[in-house]
Amino acid sequence: MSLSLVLRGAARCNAANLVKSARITPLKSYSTLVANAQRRAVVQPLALAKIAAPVVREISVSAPRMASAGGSHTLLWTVERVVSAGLLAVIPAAFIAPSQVLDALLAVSVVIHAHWGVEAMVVDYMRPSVVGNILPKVAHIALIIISVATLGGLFYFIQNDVGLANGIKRFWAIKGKDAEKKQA
Amino acid sequence: MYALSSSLIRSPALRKGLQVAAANRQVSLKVVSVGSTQKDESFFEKNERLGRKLSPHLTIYQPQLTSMLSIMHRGTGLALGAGVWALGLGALISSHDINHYVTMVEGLQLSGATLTAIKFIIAYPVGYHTANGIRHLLWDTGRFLKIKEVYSTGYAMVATSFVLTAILALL
Repeated sequence: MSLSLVLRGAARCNAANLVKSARITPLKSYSTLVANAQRRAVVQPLALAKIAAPVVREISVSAPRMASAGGSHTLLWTVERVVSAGLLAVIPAAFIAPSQVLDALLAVSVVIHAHWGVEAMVVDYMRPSVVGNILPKVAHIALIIISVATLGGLFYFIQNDVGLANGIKRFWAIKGKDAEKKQA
Repeated sequence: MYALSSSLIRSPALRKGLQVAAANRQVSLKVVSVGSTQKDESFFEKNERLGRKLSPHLTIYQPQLTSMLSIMHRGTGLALGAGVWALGLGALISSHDINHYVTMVEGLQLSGATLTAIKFIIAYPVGYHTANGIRHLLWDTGRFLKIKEVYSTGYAMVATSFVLTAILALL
């Protein structure tokens, strides 16, 4: 053992150098062994400490935690991803085969996707420690009002005008003045 | 060899030695009520009271592909959201139908090239947000999370966004 340490040129005789000397395990996994040993050395006393002094439940006054207090966020997260993926199908479908049903589906999906996105921005940037306690709440309520109004406006548009996809297509089809000259 | 070193760590002799060392260090624990450890003011309130300035963050952190693409995703999303709000709220407020506005834009008599350029600029947020959105959904399935993969998918995504935008602008 000491010979292998000498051969390594190891200055100290400790567990680390012993393990490296033997090198029965590949060197790549050495760090994992040390990390695991170190982790086990920390976790046990921490677990004991938690039994001795149980953590008191924290009551947070920050906006996102207030919003989620008492419930899990996972269902909403999954629904958000489903809507995002759904948009990848709904947008092309609504434009390839315009109809009132697909327009309505498009309107609902886009408005709720935008609502969740802007809500994340409000939660991230309108922090109570920066802007006070009233402004985040006002912003949240304003966002809900805007989203509802937008959806209402889009539904009105689908019902009483050419429809969402057709309307956008009409704008997109505007030709330049030279193209009109060529046609004439 | 690992077995030898781990058995050394777990040996009763070592444990006894550590206990003796701990006793000699004379560490004592004081029992304290939970209420006395709770603070009256928050971290931010305390630092404001002490008149401390906030440490620089955005001004000193080097821009990287990861952060730049991420904030672009948020920016394009906000731009698209504003567009949707304009469409919806506009439809609610306006007293005219859409043909009125189409005629108004046609009346500007813009050239074909200008129109294509404008369509490219309007379509770019759509292309970028869609391409990066797909990248986000792939992350949500647990794929491409290593830093090398984040960078390679990032570059691929930027290229895709331009291709998508070109297709949309030329429709």
